Amino acid sequence: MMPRVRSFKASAARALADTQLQTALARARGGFVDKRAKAVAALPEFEALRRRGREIKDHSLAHLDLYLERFEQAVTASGGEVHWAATPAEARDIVLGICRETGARRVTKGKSMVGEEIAINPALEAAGVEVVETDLGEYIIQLGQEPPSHIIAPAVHKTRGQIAELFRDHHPLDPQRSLESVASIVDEARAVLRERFLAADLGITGANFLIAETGSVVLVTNEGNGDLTACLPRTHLVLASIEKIVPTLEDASVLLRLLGRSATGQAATAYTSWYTGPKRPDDPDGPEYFHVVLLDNGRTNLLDGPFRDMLRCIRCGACINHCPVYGAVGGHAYGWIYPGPMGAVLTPLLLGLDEAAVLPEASTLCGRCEEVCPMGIPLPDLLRELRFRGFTARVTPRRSRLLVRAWASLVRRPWLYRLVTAIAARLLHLLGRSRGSLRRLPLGAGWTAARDLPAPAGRTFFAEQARREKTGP
Amino acid sequence: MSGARDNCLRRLRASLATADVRQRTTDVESWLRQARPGPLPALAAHPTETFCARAEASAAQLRRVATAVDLIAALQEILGATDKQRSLVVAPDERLRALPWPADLPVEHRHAGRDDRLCLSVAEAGIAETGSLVLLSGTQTPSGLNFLPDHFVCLLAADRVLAYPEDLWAELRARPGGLPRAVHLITGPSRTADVEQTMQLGAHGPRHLTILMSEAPASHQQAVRCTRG
Amino acid sequence: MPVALFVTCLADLFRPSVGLAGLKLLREAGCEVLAPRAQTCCGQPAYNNGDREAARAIGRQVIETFEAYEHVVVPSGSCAGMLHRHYPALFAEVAGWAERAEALAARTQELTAFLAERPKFAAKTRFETKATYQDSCSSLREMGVHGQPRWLLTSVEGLELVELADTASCCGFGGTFCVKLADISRRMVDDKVDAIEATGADTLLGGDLGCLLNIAGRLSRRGSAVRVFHIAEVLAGMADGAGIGEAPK
Repeated sequence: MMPRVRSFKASAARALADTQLQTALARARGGFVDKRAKAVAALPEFEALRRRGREIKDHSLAHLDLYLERFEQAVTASGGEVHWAATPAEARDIVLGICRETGARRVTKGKSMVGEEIAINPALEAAGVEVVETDLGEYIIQLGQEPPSHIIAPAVHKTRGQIAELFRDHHPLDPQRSLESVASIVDEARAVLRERFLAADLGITGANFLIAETGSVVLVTNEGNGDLTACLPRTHLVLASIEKIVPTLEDASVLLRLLGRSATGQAATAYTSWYTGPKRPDDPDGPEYFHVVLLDNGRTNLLDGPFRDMLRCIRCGACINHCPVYGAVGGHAYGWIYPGPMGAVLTPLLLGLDEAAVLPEASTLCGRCEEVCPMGIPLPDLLRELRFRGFTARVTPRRSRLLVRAWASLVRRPWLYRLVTAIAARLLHLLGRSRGSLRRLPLGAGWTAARDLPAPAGRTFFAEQARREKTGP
Repeated sequence: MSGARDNCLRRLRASLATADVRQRTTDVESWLRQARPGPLPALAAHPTETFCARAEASAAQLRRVATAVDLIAALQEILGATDKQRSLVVAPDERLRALPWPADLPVEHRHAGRDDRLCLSVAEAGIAETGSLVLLSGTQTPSGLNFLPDHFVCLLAADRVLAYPEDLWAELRARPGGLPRAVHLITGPSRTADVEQTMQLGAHGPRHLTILMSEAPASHQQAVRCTRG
Repeated sequence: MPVALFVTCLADLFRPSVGLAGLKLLREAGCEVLAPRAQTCCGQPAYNNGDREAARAIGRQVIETFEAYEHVVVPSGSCAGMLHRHYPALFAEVAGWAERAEALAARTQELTAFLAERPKFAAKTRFETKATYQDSCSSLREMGVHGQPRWLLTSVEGLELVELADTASCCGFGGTFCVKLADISRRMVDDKVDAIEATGADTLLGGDLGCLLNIAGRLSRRGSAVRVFHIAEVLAGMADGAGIGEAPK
């Protein structure tokens, strides 16, 4: 999708006024936050798992080249093929090439954020390949021609009514049928997508983890759509970014314990599958061809520097669910595919600060994200680092840079600061004395549009101290 | 595309240049060899009990079947309750073939078809920690049976309940040929909460999952005792 | 060696009674305390806006002003966090300053945390009210402050404390965030005000003036009767005057 990050503020304002969206966000937030809290409370080993998970990821990243090579060897040994793509364009070419080679015309797709990153769907469609999303949330937004608004629950912003309308518009079924209940909607999706699963000649999935030791791809779903996509067609194509590699089966099991609980409050999702290569000689079913496309897209640049920690992300969405800014505006306002705190860090890193400098600003640095991150990613510090880069590169608004500099100049001169603050205190006190606060303030509309400004007492602390020293308390 | 591969690896090695490649290779070999498990959640009860509790909590139905006759009776009951399915589709597994199928119970030993509403397969193991079934791809247990029907019934021997996935990895590593093409950990029926965050069972996979836990040992050399009544 | 009070720029300008209460409380705890006159601001606005150069310049000034003292006590989780958590990071690569920043960080504490550790201290005041408490994000996550203010409030006679729902969620101040992303900030503070009103409390207390000014301003705009005080004022028996944003009596 074309990024629309620069219009964050305008999009956020629209989102705040959208009552249906607000209802959907409130419902989702309550659900995710409570479920995670319960799951974490029920697992005494959670902190120990977090520490081990962090160790595993740090070790993997520190040896990423070697593990990628091992992974490739293991996939090849099991009969699969690994492809390397530096950029989204290269990745698209590889996927289209495989479709051409295998004569694939109908593709089913499990949820893949990397797939979104490389914008694979429009490329397939332009090449005359029919592609249908099979994760129910992704299917809904595909019908609605919109991007996902959350990395785990892509259609979280949609109401039942909106979904029913999309189904009526796109499914040629009896117009009199009822689509009132959640059950009727899900049943219809099941029937419609079942046909597509069975007709597909190529299945594209993402990967929650790649296992270097065995060349396995781990897929986590609740719906089972990932497995129907991976098992039924002749070809299984996996899209994954390079930092998804972990060394061993045991390492993946540690991270899986953290992923389910952090994302949806589940100890295990309904379906967790390990896929290793195409079908074996004695397999009655399974794909004949198994391809893994490894995407870099700027991640190698992040290894060396303050942003390496971001590569620990296991895409659980906990930070998104707990972020008050995301909770207020939803995912679309972020303008690309990664919302919330992880999006506010990753989007500028992948798209550049010129495009995305506003996102690191859209945070109070409250730190709730870091608190819930199973990988202990220091998101507020990374946001500060991005702010620093934005300030230095002068991509942040000029006015705010000047104001910050002006304040800094003032506080570095205590004698001047005392003078200016004494005057300001006096003035604001006089203006606000009758009510105790000011409704309006010249140059202060940013504050007073929504709040009164409590009026100062009249003397600053230090003016009061000076007075007491002179005259006694 | 070896250009992309080499470039990627080159960039990576440049970023990770601080440590010597030989040392890092040794570290990698050592880590892979050790395959150290992480902290394991303590199980409050015996694995079999824990398995049953967690499987049921995941909305799976669980029935204990002491004998082959009980097993067949349970299957007949489920088939009787299943709409639009005349015969029981059963995985072509030797252990299932060897069951004392009565003449009046139509059984097909095959891979799942698109219209099958009820299928039976046999699990390699169970995982107590999460109440999950372990199903492996293979001649005897085609994966389609796990995902296509409306109602998936799975036989699990009680002595095949492992405490943790880590126990499974240890077993699978010891096999010649290593991991099969697919290892499925299945925990309850298919579900989604994508519509208004409301949980609904039966998204794309089975709506119902029934686990028939048999007391008989798993080894297929010991055929399930047959007591025809 | 005396204890130094880091007054904070917000207290200095908007609510000097917080500084005065701080001095009083520290004396009651048996400390010799003073507020060094050379102080102005901890440098957070510069730091959080990406101006590290300015933040370091301000930081050097703060370190020089305060490093001679055995303890530096701050009636604000965010300013304490700046000195305690962020100065070491800011100065980590700066020759000659890294150790000084670490040393100052080790001696900097938030006010309620400091008081809760003093065996001599017990608030001997009375404040008849039903109150709720706002934990600032920095207090919670940077300075480990949660139980201490609540424990201190148990010794205030007549004060009934009710917990705010979801106290862990941000009030929407965030320094310059509240003016730069005013729409979103308004939503966050509205959620907070709704939660406060749901407790039925007459008074809101907290340990950070940034949060308190933000919330008091919104309470006032929404015509709420809830009164707002800094916890230091209550503990020091200085909550008999106007609350934050109230007309003077």
